[in-house]
Amino acid sequence: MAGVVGRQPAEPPIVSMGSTGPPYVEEPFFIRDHIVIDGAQVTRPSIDPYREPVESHVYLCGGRLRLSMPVVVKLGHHLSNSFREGVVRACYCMGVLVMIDNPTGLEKYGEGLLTEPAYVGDGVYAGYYGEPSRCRESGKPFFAHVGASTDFLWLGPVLEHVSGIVVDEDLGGVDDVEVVVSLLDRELRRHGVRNSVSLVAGGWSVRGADDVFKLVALGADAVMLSTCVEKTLEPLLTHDTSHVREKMENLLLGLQREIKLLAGAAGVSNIFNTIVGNRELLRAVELPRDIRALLSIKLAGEG
Amino acid sequence: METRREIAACGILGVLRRWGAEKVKADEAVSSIECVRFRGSRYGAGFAAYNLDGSNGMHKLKIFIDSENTLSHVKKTLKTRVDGGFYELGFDSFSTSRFASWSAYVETSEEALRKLVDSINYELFNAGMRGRVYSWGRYVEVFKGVGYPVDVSNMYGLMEKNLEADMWIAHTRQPTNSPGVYPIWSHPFASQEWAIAHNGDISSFGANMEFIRFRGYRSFVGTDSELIAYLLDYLTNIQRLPLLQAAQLLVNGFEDDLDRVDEYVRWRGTGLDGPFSVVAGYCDGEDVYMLALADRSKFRPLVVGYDEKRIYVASEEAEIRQLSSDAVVWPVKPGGIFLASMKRGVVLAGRENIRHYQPRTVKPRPVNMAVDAAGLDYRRVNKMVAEAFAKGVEKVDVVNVNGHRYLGVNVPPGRSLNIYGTAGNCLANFNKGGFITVYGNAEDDVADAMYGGRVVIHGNAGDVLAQAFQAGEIFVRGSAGNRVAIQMREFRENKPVLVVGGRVDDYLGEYMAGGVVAVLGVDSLDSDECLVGRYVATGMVGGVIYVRGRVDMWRIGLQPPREDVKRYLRGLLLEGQIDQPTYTKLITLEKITIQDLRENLPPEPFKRISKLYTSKYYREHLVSYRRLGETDLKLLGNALQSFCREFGLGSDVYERLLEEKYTVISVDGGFSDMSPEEG
Repeated sequence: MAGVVGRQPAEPPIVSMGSTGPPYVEEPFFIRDHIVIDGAQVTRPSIDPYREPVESHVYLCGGRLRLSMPVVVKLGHHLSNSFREGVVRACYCMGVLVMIDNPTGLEKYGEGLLTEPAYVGDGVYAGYYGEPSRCRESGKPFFAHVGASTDFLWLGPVLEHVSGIVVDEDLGGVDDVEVVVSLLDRELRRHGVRNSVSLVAGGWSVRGADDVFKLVALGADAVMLSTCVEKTLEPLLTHDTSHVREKMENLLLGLQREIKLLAGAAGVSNIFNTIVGNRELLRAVELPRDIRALLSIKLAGEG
Repeated sequence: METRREIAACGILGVLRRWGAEKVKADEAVSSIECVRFRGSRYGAGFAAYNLDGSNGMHKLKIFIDSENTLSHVKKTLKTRVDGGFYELGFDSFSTSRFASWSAYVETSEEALRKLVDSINYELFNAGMRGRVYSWGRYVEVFKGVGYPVDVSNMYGLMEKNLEADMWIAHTRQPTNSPGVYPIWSHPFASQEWAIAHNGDISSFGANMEFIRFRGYRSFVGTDSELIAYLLDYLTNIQRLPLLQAAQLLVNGFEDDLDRVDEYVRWRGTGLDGPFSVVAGYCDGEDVYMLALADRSKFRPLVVGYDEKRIYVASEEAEIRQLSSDAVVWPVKPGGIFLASMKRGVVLAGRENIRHYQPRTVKPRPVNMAVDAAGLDYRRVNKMVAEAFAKGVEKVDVVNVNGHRYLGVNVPPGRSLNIYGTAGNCLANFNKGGFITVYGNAEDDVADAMYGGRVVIHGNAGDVLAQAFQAGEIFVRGSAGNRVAIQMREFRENKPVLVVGGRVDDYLGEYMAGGVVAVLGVDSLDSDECLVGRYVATGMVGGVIYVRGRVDMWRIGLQPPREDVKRYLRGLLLEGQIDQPTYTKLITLEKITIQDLRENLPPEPFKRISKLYTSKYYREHLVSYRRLGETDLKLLGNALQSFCREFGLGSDVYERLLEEKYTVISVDGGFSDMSPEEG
């Protein structure tokens, strides 16, 4: 991933053919390490995002929330206030939603925050409920905040009240996030609410733009980054708010560029329309048949 | 037998008669699509015929069947599920593969039939592709099979039976991602009264599939083209959206141009991404409609036109010229929508500024040693031209040219080739020193990688004019399409010059590295409309572009999405980095360019927000709006003079051009001997 500091921050390296990625060279950890992206071909040319528009925005909650890229950042309460403020400022400017339990002191950035319901009000726009059944449509968007589980029994009764679902690996859960995302996406489509109920998923396991791309293609509208932000920004070493902000902006800009490069390489110019749920852009390498079936993706080499 | 490697794509065609004009004969549709036969292959072609008065009130169900068993299964299904009964018409084509076409009139409601078709197709597909319903309209009938268009026409006896139609849609196919040996995958694809033919490969296929799969469509043969028919059918017939709104959803416009975000989100998944040009036919029982769509990058060719009697859509102008020498023809713009109906004529032109594509031109008579291209294959014509030059002939005229490809690739330095008619794709590619003149229009990819000599086109040029052009002169009297002068370059004394008399579309001078381009608008000297599309000079590293009149700054280079910029400005406001008046002033601008930000923001906030505009690969454009100075005239003066002389424009036009102001575009370091002169 592109660096956040240094001579050329936020500039993804551009490489040619060949890959050191999993599963063959690096060790695979997750299902998505067995998924490769089906690139452009001669009849479907790649698009260079440095010269041509590749749109990375996504809309959540039926169009009420706009993200400049399919990314949501989650901040834990163990982080210092100055760090949290730096991250929130950067995310606000870069058009990325921040999930934060307690937004005290940051209310003015409220339209870029997703918080505990108690704080949703004048400043803060969107909230989440750990207990989906408590979700109530109140004019503001509310998300159901759930762990990674394929038990969707709770979903039916709350569908009319939720604007979105956050599948948060950090809450635990027994199932792989890829499988949860794919099945939940299909479930929402089956209910005919896919374009009004948003799906955000991710957590500790998300490492970079490739993970974002794959989870979006499996059906997420946006992917949540938690641990990787902390790892990259080194909160213990960075105390100055504006320094945190700058590093975080670089991180997001680099991510956005990488996501656009990946989309362009697949011949895609609009992520929101074209990548979300587009399993046709993915192929599996050494992934068992039953998992491929759950994800609805083809084997590499299949037409 | 010699195996040839052909560069091919698909070819599409639509011909619609105007109300009151005579119907279009099958012969005409066949001869039009056959003139781009080389775009396709023997792996599939087809036609759709629309007749508003041809309906007997029943739906005509047409199905490909692989065996007697399958047929009796289908008949059994019809017997049990069609309330009004069905009338067998039997087989209407001989079988060229596993499949033959069988048809019947079916008496039932549209709603019931839609479900029936889906379930027949679902069952037959799951049983191992035993067959497929491929046409079930009341006003439209599809004829498709494996072969070139003329073979498919013969299969169904279209010309023999002297079939006529209000509208024909036709296709010649170069299969890419699905089999070419079975007729099921041939175009047109139809759903209810929609029939579409498509050239392209859609990257949104999986997303479109996810959109439609839980909405009453269960069976897919796995091609993007079929999905387009389903999407149009679903949006217009099930969701009852107006044709135009459905078309807008499919062409998938840029976010910055959106009218309504809620609608955009509601229909997410209906947009087509990646390369496509589509022609679609439709009949609502009152009128017959012809719709054509181009992708927003214009990765596939699409031209349209009309004459007094008819309206046309085609991959290449030659298809239209085959039927009409006097039709007005223009390219659809990137992301453009063309809509016409039999009773209303052209409703939406697919672009603005059509008059720029009707230059006043001369058509002199040929005088030199002539090759008559009429009815000849392009290979034969090119061979005859080569033979004439080999004999030492100085000037060769080729008459009756209509879409012949690769003309002018074999002209020896100093000799002349004059083309009368519509020059086909790849004119003058790699031209090293030949003088090539076209009395008429040229199609796409003129003078690709040309490195000497001269090309003069008295009409228009198509998309991708002068790509990688590196020495010599190109003059186009009329206008050109998308991606003009991309990757143009210069080397030492070799400085290529391209002059376009009309206007051009998007991506003028993308990746341009050298040479001189001028866009003049000579037929609109008194108008101040902008002569270029968007994304001018993106990735430019050298050379200079002159566009007469003012070019808005937002058209130059690639801009970040407006919403991203607005959000960043709001962040700066909340942080107290900028004041409210500055913020308000900037976000109310229709377009926010980096120049606007530089002028209005303090250095620190400007530095921060400029990250959205720049990158490692960014080079700032040097743009000025001024009269031509001495340095400019050194570069361009001679070319302007000979441009005017060549096209008989007279000294008054030349003088006027010298007085006009130009937007001059170059990049830092790419054109260092330039001193801006304010005029």
